[in-house]
Amino acid sequence: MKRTIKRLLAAVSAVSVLTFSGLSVSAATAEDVIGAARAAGFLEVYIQQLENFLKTHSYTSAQYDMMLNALGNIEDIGDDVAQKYFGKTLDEMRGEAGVDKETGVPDDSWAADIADKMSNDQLMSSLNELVNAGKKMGLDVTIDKKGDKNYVMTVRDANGNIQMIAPVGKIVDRTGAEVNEENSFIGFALTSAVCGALLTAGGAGLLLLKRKNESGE
Amino acid sequence: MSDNIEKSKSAKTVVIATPIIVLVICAALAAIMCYFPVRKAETLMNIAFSANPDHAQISEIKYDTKEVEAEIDGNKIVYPSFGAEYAALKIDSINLEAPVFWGSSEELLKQGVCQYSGSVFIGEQGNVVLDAHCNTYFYELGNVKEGDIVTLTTSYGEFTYKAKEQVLFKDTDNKYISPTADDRLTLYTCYGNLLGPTEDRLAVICELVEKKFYE
Repeated sequence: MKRTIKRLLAAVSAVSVLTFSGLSVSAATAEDVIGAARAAGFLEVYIQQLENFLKTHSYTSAQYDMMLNALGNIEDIGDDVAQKYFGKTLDEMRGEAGVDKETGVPDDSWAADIADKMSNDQLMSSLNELVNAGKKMGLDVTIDKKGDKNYVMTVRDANGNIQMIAPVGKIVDRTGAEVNEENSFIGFALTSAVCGALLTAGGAGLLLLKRKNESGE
Repeated sequence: MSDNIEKSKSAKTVVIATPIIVLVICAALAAIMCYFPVRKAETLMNIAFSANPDHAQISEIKYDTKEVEAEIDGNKIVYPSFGAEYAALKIDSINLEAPVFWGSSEELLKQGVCQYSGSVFIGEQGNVVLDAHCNTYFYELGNVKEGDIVTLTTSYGEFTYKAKEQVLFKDTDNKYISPTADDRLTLYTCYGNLLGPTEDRLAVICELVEKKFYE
């Protein structure tokens, strides 16, 4: 709420400055969007992903504004979490973080802490901001839940072509053995079931034979 | 007399049924014991006969196909669209040659090595992160030793890396796939389980040796 008022005041003052000074408005750019994502507490991997996406897709300044608006709303959600659990604003938390010594890039562990404290509802609200912004921009953004705080976001253009698939939450890929029961000529579940059934039948058969033997004697 | 007939019937049943039952049990045990070697053989067959797929034939999923040309420090670079096969990975020490797709998804992982779209484009400064299934292209990743040469070839240049170290990490740890200030290549796959999902990952971290952009 405080942030919304802050933004409203900033917008009003910006409009009045521009109205009275005759300065030209600088249109929103991809760099502004990346800056807003960082301010909203995005992890560096998501910022890199966004940067890559914006390098390969061009938008109008009005569309960048839509993204900025969505990111501002996400920042509000993050701010609430930061205030509630850490007693600080996102700005303050980011300001306190330095550069990661090992990687040499901005330390984003504070952003990870915020994400950890976010409830599933808050995460969904944040993602819904992106879905709605996408809709306004003519993109189809869908979110699939894969587990607790674990989602996959898919961005499609108006023709249904996939422009990006981005895991949110758990971002390390599932690279385990690809077990495709349809293609695999020997599936684990099937093998277990068949062998289990055969062993049970065999055991039961032996038991019956033993009884028969005993009764025959 | 009827007792003898009964006994003889019973003996016949035992004589016929016993080998059948023993055979069934042996077959079941053999199937269980063979499962793992067969799965391993299947993996090796997958690797041996993996074709280099044409992107258009990958699946019915439609990907954006627009590429964007740009310049980095005076060098031309081509940014791929999501799902595009845009590089080739070569590691001679493990006889690996594999297609590299931009972006990662279950679908793309079936086709080759995937580059995480949260890592820098090949040729840009930072961490290039590639991963593949441990029972296909990255089956031998654990055998990459320090000093082994890894090359990435794209339509705009050739980039040579040298393996520096192997690390193990959990799938909840983003450290090794996060951006870095230095130029590096991170290759990872699942570790310790060839039969399904696991939370352990094996990564090979490589340092850049040479960047060669085509004219």
